[in-house]
Amino acid sequence: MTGLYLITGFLGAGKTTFLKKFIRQMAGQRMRILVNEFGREGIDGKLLSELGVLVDEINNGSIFCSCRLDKFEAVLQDALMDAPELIIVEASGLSDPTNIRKILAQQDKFGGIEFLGSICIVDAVNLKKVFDTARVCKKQISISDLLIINKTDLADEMQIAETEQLIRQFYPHIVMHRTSFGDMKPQWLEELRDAVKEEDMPRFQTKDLGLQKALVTIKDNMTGYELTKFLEMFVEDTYRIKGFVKLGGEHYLVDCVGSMVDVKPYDGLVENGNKIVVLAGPGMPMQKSLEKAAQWYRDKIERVERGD
Amino acid sequence: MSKPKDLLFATLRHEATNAVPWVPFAGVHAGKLVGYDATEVLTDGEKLYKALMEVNKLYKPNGQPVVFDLQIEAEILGCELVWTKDGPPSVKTHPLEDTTDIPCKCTVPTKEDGRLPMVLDVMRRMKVAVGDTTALYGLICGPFTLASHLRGNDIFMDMFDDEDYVHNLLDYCTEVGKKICEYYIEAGMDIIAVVDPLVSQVSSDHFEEFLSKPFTELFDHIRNLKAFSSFFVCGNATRNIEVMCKTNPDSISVDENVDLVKAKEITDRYNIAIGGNIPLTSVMLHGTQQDNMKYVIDLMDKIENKKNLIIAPGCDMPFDIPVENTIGIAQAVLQPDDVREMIKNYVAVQEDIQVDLPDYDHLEKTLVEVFTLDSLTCAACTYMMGAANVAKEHFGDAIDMVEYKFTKKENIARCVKMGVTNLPCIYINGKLKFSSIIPSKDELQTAIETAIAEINSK
Repeated sequence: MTGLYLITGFLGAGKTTFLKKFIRQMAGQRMRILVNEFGREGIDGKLLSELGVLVDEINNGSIFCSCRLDKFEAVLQDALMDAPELIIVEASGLSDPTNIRKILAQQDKFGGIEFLGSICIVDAVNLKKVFDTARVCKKQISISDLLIINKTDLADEMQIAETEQLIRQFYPHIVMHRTSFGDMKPQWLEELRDAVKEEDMPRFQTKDLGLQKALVTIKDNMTGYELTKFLEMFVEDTYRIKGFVKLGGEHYLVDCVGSMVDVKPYDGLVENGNKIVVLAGPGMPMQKSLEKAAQWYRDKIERVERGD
Repeated sequence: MSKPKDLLFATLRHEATNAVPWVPFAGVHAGKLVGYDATEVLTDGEKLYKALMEVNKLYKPNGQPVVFDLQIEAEILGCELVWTKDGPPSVKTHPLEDTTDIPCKCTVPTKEDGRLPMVLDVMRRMKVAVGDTTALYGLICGPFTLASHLRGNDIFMDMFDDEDYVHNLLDYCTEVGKKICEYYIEAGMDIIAVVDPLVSQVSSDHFEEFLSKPFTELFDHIRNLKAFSSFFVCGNATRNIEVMCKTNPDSISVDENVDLVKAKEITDRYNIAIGGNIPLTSVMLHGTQQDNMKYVIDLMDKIENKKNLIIAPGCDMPFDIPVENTIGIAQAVLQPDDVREMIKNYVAVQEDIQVDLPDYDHLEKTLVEVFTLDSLTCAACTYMMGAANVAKEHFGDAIDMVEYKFTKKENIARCVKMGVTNLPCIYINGKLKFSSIIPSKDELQTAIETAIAEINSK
């Protein structure tokens, strides 16, 4: 098996610096690096040649964008032919990596890959500036198994605490660490392994967050595709959506964490009247975006009730 | 008989039509049809022209873009580009990265700058060659994407830190866009698509704060110049469809991330045409010809109100899309009822129709078999059949020739039994010799002569 790490983070968060140090830590393994960005500072070729690392570059947009996905899959398959022990993918700062697990789950193409987790780098000072202006920020954070708050040397304690609070508000369960200059402690990788193992464990938040809760009743004339698109409209402003629905005779389990929409066919009985529960933290704009989505699909949504 | 472009114009005028127009966004992919790579078609006018003519011939479009490269303006304004063989170039450096000065209006590109002379020349030539029948699209880089090309990563911070600067930079980028529109329309473009992939990255609040004004100005300007407009985005722009409508374009183009059926309900409320959204990778690049035909039929069947609808790929087509997949799409848009029947039969005939194939190993005369979707309506099939007919005239009784149209059930069964997957194609003595790309007279003659020699040597 070939292990694969995904490195994400918004433009300027320090991904490339992090990646260089990360590669050093992995020295001794046969590696392929896939870089999806033309940063100002290219990867230090000398360093990589010393380590015997092959670098593939994909530019011109995000590897997860519909117009570059073909290239990403092709380069990844090509890298696999080499049977490396490790592939590290650095996604562009503007990429929405929500689909990474779905892409890697294609057994026919990527059966030889074991996903080791997603590491998201954020800028301690600038996160709050881009958190609202760039929608991909939330998506990158929400799918990450380990979040590293970088550049803490440039921030004071109050700024770092604000950044942590901003992230916690949306993603209360996320594993977070502070660092500067892209340093990474080896024990964080251990935590990452545990986090990926627990991927299927329900991550459920207790009451102390001042939860926002909504209950959405879906009509059974909605299709699975429409349900997915409906959820996509507000999922990034929630941290959990869950429920069983019966649509046109087919049963589905809805189970979304963070920005990941997950609607799966389900074999069991569905008897709860097509209700899905939507949860968000305080200050998250869940109600507004849920209302907008329900408006789009108004002929397919029975009602939206606010929880207490 | 009305011309293909008239159907697209009627759609953009929001009139009821009895068919749906189709626009293949073949940018770099055009090169593949004639054996050129992406860099060649984006830098060499002669090669670009030849590639575009092939698109026009094979894909029978109602409208087609002349060039799909969002870096043309950025390159003129000092961004260094990195070139690649299978896609458009990308921006490597950002001239405004370390300054918050707004460029002077005197730096707005002129017709002599960068690759514009080449692009404008090809536009004029295309207008003469196919402008009478085909609507031509000029694609400009949208103001937000151009601003990010010039400014780099910091544009998102600027939206938080320095709103005035962002407004001023977008004003400048809008001026650039207006000028490019003028050049393209003067060179004969019927439709200007303002392509701005980054629009899907911002919230609708930010769109209204920063982008509503620039886009509204651009679409007004295009309208004043008597051309049609298209607001072209990619990515999940679902949340922004409504605010995009409010900028008043004639049409909107979206990709597979958007639910086209629901988006069209919104655009219909504003009486704006919408185009899309055939998936680029899963369907066009990796799907079969049948998958592509089925996708388009299903999409059209899902949309009850066909007014204001354009069928198109979700974005710039990947370089390597199999030619037959696009041919299949064109056929599905052009003859939906026939293709719906074909797809149904393709699944149905596999069990119940018996076909006897010739004994290819013991043929006495060379047999040329042409498999087509329908040589009367599918352009590529017409040319394939035409090439075969010319060969038949040349060889006369020395060869047998037959056409199998996919519109007949027994021919579908024959295709299944033969293992024919891509139409149109030519088999000679039971062997696939030409698929989708039309052979030249010499190529086909040589192949037939070789086959005759093989039979004679037995």
